[in-house]
Amino acid sequence: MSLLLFTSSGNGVTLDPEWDFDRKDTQIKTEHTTRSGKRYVYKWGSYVKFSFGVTFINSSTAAIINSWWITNTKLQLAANSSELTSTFSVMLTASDLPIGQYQKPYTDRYKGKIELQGY
Amino acid sequence: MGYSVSSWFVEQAASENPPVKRTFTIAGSDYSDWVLTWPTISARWDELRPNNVTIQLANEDQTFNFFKTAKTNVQAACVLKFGFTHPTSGDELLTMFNGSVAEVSFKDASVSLRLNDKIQKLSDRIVGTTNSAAVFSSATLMASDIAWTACTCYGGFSGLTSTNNPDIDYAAFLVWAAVFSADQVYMGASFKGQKVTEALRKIMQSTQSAAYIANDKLVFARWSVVNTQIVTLDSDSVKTLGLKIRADALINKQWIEFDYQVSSSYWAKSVFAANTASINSYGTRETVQKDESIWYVSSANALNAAERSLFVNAQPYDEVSISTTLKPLHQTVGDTIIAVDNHLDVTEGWRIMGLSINMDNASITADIDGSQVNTPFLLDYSALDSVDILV
Repeated sequence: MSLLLFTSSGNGVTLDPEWDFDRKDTQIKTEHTTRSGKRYVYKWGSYVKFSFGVTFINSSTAAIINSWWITNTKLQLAANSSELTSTFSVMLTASDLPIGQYQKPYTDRYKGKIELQGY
Repeated sequence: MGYSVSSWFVEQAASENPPVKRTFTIAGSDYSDWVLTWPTISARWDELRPNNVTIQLANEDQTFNFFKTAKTNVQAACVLKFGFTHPTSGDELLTMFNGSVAEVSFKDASVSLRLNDKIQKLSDRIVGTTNSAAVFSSATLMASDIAWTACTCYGGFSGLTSTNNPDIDYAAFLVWAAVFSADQVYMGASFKGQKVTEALRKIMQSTQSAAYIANDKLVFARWSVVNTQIVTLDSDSVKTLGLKIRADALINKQWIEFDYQVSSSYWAKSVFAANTASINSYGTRETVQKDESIWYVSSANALNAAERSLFVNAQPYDEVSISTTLKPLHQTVGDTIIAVDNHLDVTEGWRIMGLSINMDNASITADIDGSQVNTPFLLDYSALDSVDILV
């Protein structure tokens, strides 16, 4: 599965996630349990998170992704396979630079971790 | 009484997993997606004060910088709504709060808005002055007449005498006024610079009436009969239940001084009512009602008020505080609730005297008691309307 990460103006990159690809959907909700044990759930919304490792990234792609991270750019995430059928509005959320490590034994290839959250 | 909602809304309020929705608008624009913390909206039957609520908003994208750049926005109208989204017919939301921005506080990337409801307008204005008192001295002036004048002539509320009045629930006002009209309860008043809210509170205290905001309108009421908006709260919807009995609030001998002479600052007369059974049980607990701002003009009216006071206060009564789910969301102060608690053997139908709706965690705290569920005029007799209680 390849993923397309792009801006609203159409500039983007193609990424091949590692096997640690993880999608996590989170509900924003309030729960109450009454005296009889009855459970009430008030769901206000939800958001999605993606995280995956990337390897063998060229310097140009690494620079683009890292610049999106620096500027908190709003992005779109789409897949070219049936695993992900929707396009998600996401932002890079990691505290650290997403792609900053050399890919051994190359000095012109990089690896890193992409963490995305829907908005 | 209560919000006018569909049966579907009532069904959703009681359900375990309803399609909840809450919205926040500023000057008609929806900013719900920026809300970090939703406020708690509170009201009590006998505390007519401006309702202050605070709402926290995210401002990372500088959305709310318009408050700083165009400061006239600080007075913008804000509306908080809460309800449910119907799968086909759309949202059915209740207006929980309608007011204006009183204060904007930026801190780093968030902003806090303090909002005031329309009671603030009554709190910003006064009735009379020390040198030029606002005197209400007509021989047939009722408490409702004084309250209407205070709200409209002094408080700036609309004086429209129809249900289209945007500030006062006119239908409820007519019912309230009819109580005094039917029994010919007349009062005099002299206000010397009190805030309109304070003047209204004195009227409410003197007549054991309620004044509160519901559906964005000021509602006046003196309850006598149980209305039809009854919700049952039992262990399936109650999270916690507390019960309080206050012996020190007990009154079994009520004095009322009346016929105040403004020119000589002299109370001409007084009456009292006593509850012998209560005195025998608890000893004498006396209190006197006299206020140079508002007074009854006849002994019959004063005695009527004293009897009514004893009807409520001569015996300690149960005050129940219930924390519950959204089941009573469509109820307002003054509505009746049946509370059921097997542990304390509570099964009564009581009236909501205070209501606090937490929009953040979707819970409701209701203070209810039996003091105002069915309080009749004790001086009424069957010759007036064929029943012992004049309703």
